[in-house]
Amino acid sequence: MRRAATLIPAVLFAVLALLPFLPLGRDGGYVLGLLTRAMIFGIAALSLDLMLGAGGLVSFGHAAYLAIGAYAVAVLDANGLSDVWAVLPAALAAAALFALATGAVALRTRGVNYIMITLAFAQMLYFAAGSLAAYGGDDGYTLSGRTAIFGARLLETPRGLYAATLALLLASYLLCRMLVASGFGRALRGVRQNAVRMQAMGFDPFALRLAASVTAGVICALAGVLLANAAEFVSPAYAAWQRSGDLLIMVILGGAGSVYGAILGAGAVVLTEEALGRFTEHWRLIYGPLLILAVLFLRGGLAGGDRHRV
Amino acid sequence: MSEPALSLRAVCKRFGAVTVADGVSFDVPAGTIHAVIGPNGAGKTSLINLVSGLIRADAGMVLLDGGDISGLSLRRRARRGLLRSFQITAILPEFTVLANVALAAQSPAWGFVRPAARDAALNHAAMAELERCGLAARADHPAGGLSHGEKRQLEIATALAGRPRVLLLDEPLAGAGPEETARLLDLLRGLRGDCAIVLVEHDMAAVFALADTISVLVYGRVIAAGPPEAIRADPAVRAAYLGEDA
Amino acid sequence: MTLLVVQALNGLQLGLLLFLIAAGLTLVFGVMDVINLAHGVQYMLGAYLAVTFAALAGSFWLGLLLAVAASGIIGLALEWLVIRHLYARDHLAQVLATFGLILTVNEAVRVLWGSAPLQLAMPEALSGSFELMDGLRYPVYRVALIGAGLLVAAGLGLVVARTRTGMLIRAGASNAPMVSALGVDIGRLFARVFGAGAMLAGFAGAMAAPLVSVEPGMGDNLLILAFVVIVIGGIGAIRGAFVAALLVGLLDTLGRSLATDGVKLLLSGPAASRVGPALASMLIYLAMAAVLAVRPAGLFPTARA
Repeated sequence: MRRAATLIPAVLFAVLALLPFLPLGRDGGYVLGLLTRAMIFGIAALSLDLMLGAGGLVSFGHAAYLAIGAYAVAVLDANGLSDVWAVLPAALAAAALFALATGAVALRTRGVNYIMITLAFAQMLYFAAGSLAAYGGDDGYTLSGRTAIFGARLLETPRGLYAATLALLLASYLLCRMLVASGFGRALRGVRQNAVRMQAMGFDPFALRLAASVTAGVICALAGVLLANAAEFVSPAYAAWQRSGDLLIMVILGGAGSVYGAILGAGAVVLTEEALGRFTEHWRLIYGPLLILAVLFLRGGLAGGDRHRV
Repeated sequence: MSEPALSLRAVCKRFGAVTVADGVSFDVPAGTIHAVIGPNGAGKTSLINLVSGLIRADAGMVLLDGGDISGLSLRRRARRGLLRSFQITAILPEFTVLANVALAAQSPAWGFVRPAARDAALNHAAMAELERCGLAARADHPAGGLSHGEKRQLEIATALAGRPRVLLLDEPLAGAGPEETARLLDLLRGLRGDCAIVLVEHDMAAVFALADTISVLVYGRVIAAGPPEAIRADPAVRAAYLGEDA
Repeated sequence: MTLLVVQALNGLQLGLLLFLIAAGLTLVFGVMDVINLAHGVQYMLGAYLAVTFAALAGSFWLGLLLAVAASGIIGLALEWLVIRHLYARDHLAQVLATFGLILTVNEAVRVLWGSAPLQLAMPEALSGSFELMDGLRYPVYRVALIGAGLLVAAGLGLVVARTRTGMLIRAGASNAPMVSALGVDIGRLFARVFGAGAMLAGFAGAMAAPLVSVEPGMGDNLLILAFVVIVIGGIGAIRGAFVAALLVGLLDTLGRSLATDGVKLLLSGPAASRVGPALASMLIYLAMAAVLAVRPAGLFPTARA
């Protein structure tokens, strides 16, 4: 089990790294674009796994952070700033603040109330974004261009964005893996299993969960920045609750708690949606039942329930 | 050392019409073992909950080394060295036995970079406790798969790993067979020098063999307190347990 | 003033509609411990079935009746196919599986009825408006909806408090394994509760059909509101759901007009007309966050075993 946990991600990243060098022909841009999108959601799913798989926090509002990251790009773009040195700190700071503020309230609740209140906060953000006339309101905002990297237009080509996304996916994966295995991660996983026991040991469940929420929010906002760049378009739909549902599906399908499973889940969902979508416009009619069947029968997810035992 | 490690002063607690603690007081000097006994429903587990901070008392004080900890939460009391075991075992089922104890030794530190499982110092400390409690052979076993008695041993090992100043044990011998009981008694005797131990128990023989002082709790009131010989001879205690005159 | 009365009545009507949806939701969650996100599509199906049956039968009333009956049958079918397998699973699995149901049913509706919004005409008998006060005319249909909602609420309250089934429901809500151990066929009880909830939602959808635009996804936002209602009211509590539903309905309706007007005092025209509705939409969620901040278990939490 343990060897698979290092082998599978290694193979995955190797394949992803080599892909741009293969002769992809005329469809190259499309394939790279699709995989970029899958990787972006991989980053978002990784962050949710930190909260859900490690912390046991079922957040139904995680898409809010995608929107925060995306809107950071949009707002700065509308004001003439589109370089990473401005966009990244803004996106990450906004995400951290939102996570702190909402977490302070949400983490006092448990069970379905927590699910609902995280949903509520994302809804608030959704409506707030829709009311921003300066950034297109409900219709959304088209970027004037992709984010520059210290003046260099590196993200303009499909290859450029792909490479940047892959690098950030790898970094996020290594970060999440490190955090989950660390003392902090172990304490967080302990809280998921028995919060009272952890208190009796002297740990603070609230602080641990809040730290996990803030970290997850910040990483997901990074995905939001990339998503805005990939689509060159930002709208309130980024924070829609159906999107939060998608993120949960990706984590669970991949296998909550295994870290790399989240990437597999994201890939599976994005690629399946795309494949089905080319087949029929009513692809949800196939996807929905597949999802139901997967939930009912695929207990451990793609990573097979590869939870950390130590 | 003038102050007892643990001191209860007139602790009171009611749940509606039920009084679980009615002016309970006792002192436990460091290095001694104090047992609390009493008929079922007398409020013994509630007492552990009150002392550990899981529930707050309505009145009275709990003092740790002379300092008032009555207003502190379970977590804060644990940080000061007041540690407990749970009667309905509350271990972390997905972790290995070793990880459970190592985590207790890790508390309250976090750490973000190094893999916790490979922390040699924590593992070493944890293994020491596991050996003391007789669980060394099960170190790599998932805690959820342990037998009932083993879970109880794990509870004690976990509490010990936190380097307790005061140790609260809620029926540590319940369901233990004779060998296990003997082993646990040896273990507890060995702990005497390190900390003060408060023990809630039903096993009379064990209690009388082990405790330095005993409090008898009936409907939340301490009806008798003192060394084992005094308690054994006390007519009120006899009446409470046997329902007849001495 | 008259506007305020109209808005208040609208709020009452929305509240009762929400109650009809939330009642089924809180019962299912309270008794079976299942989070059923697909409850919103039950509402939607009620509306669509009402449109179709009314057209086939040539009568709104027959359409309503058949829609409610069909909603119950569909509810029982869904319970048998999917929900039944979720009783033993954790909340996350339930959320995801019922999310899958939402996707499926919304798409199925698109395939069967198309994406274009449908209309349902109000029945003749209820299509006028009458004078409530001097110069205040209010649609009869909306009053009928309020009346129907109150009747159903009263009926539900009676069933839960006075009948044997109601007692089983209350018992099951606090300790289902115990009820099962006492020899009650818990499977049948669960199926009936689910079917009843589906019928309530379907009835709400059918009644709402003449007032709203019947389209795919129409149940999704009401579903979220219904969840807000049961979270504020306290899981499993019918009484709590009733109070919370009225609160939410009034807050949403009155809040919208007050927020838009209030914001106009502070901001200039175009900005105000954007921020106002946005603030109004957020009001409900702010209220829920406020309630949970003070009472993390809701206003009337039921004691669960």
